[in-house]
Amino acid sequence: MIQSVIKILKVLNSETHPSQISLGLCLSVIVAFTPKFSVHNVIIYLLILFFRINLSAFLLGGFLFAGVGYLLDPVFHRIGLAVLTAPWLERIWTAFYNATMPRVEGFNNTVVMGSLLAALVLFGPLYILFNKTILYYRKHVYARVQKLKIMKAIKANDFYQRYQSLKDWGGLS
Amino acid sequence: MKAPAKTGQAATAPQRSKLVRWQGLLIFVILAVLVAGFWILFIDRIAERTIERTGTALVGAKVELDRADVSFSPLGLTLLGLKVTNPDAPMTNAFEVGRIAFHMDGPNALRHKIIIEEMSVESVRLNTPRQASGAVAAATGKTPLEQLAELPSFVIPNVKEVFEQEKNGLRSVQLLTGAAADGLVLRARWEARLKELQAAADVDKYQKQYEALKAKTGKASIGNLLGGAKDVIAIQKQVRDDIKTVTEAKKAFAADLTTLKKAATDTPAAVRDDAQRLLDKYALTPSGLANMSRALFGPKIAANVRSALRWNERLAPFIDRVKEKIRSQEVVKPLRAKGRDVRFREDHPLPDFLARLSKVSVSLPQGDFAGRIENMTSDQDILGQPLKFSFSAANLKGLRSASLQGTFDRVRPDAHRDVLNLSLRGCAVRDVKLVESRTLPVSLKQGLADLDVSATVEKGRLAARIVAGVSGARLAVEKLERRDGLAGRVDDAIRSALSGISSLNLTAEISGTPDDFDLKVRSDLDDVLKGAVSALVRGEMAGFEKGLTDAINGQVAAPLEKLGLGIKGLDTVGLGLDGLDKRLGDLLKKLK
Repeated sequence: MIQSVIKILKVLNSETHPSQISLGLCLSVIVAFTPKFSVHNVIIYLLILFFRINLSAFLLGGFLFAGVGYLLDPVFHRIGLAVLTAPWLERIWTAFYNATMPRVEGFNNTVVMGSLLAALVLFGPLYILFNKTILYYRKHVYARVQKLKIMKAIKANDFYQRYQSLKDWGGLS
Repeated sequence: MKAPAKTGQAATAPQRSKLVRWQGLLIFVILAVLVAGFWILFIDRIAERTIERTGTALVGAKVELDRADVSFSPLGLTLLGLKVTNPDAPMTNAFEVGRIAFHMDGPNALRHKIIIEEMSVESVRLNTPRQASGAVAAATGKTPLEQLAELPSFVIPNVKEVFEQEKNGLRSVQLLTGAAADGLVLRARWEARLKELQAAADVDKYQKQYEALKAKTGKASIGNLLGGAKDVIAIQKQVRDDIKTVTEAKKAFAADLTTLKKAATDTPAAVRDDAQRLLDKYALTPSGLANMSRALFGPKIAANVRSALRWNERLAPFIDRVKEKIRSQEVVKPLRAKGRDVRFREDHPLPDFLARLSKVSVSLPQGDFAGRIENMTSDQDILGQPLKFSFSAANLKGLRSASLQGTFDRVRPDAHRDVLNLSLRGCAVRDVKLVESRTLPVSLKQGLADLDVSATVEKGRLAARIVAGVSGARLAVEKLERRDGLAGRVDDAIRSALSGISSLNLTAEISGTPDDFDLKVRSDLDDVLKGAVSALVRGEMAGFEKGLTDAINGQVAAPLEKLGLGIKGLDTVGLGLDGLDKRLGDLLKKLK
């Protein structure tokens, strides 16, 4: 738990742009809610690594939201069942069902469809919410956090120093 | 927040993209290679664990696999050393398979469809011993049928106890209690009806009207004569109508009275029937003896039928998936994944799993034989063809011929039909336990058996017939426990009779639902056993029968008395109806 708090503080206090952190968190929601090795998640892994999206936020978000996703599986099943059995969408799903890629994705599974849909719907609002929260934090809370003993201890930590050097390499920020 | 870059550095360092990091692509490729490498390295183990876990969950006992081998080109799977524990006997494997190998259609596998043109199932062995128990769930207890089919106690039951236990179900008492209640109701109804009829057909009133008319017409005028005749005709008509009503009432009354009297006269026969039924149930009567085969062999047959039905149930997910319709879409439960899979119309419909042909080789102690299974799929409705299997063997060691054929037809969801036919000829049997009982354990030491089994489960109803014949039989009846009195003497008589038997024929018929089936067993042993035992029990049974009949008669006495009162009351009503009918008849004669 303490490790998680330290990670959150590190990410929030870093000089990374808020949108990079928010994007990392939002993509982690998709990965955490849906089956880990589905096709869309492989694409997300590629996006995360290729674009300058905050990797720490993504990993941390994935860890935090995975439990939420597990608990919400019954809700995802209901959402997926409602969407997949909606008569007005039947033609689209039938076309998908006869194509190979959607079948590889397993779109016709109620939990896959429900979780992906929920994650995509939440993506926009969460992005805005995360962005605003980070900006607020940096404006009103950051200075006070910097003065905290725990933050000073983190900065003096050997792991933090190495993290800073990696950040400059460009792989993690 | 971000510190401004130093001017000198900016001039010399290469421009870094703010949007992408090219190193990330390299990391992705490395990670993908690592994951693929891990997958290739461990896929065999993953497949092995998945099969073991899913199989165990489906069978309800341990399923173990020595090795799984996944090949990618062509896509296929080989399983080595598959062992499936018999859930009913955890120290035994129901079957072992040496090797299962098949190739899958790659593009369809991507679409989550496992299509296998030919599967090879080699070295199947049945009922092999296990070193460790393969139990994962608690065993179930005996069914009521098996409890009923236990060996008779041969102990004369206590009349009082039997009667107390059975008195609520006595048909004679039920019949008489109902008739007595009906008698009281009918008596009240007919008494009221008689009063109604007497009020409506008032003979005295008609008499007075007639007398008055007669006095009036005494004055001889044409008008009086004509008017009087008209009035007399009117009275005649009224009396005739009344007679008709009374006659109809008498008919209905006679029917009611006959029903009640019949109940009273049937009582002795009903009492006798009840006594006989209880005798058959609780004591060893000649008719009870006729059912000795069921008592002896019933538990073993019932246990085998139950075991077969349990396997049928366990195999059900493989041949018929649970499907439901939600808003006209078919929804199925995936075998391992969460949630449900919704199905849509396909351009080229294919089942999710299909093994068109499985060639199976079976190794028995008697020798090897082969068979084939066609259309193994859980979506027969999509394939449009049922699962069929056939195995045959000839000239094996100790088995002249064997044939097993069957069909699991789930093509139409509303017309499920499973058929199984087994035929064994010249099967040398040795040391087979026929009856497992402490007092009369019967085993077939040796013999040559022919066996025919035909079973059908159709629309939830089970119908099966087992015909077995054993020649050159040598039966052994051991004595693990000695019972006292009549039971012990009966045991000895049965033991002696069975020891002399050299051939036996048995027919068992099973019908009902898989959860609650009835078993009828007939055997030529019945006559032998009846002859051996009936003389012993006849005398002692007579006292029990008399006591039982007396007890039932005592129980029916009260309702019989009540019924008598009802009939007596109705007899009085009958006399009243007859009297009214006679008076109306006499009046009509007078009016003519």
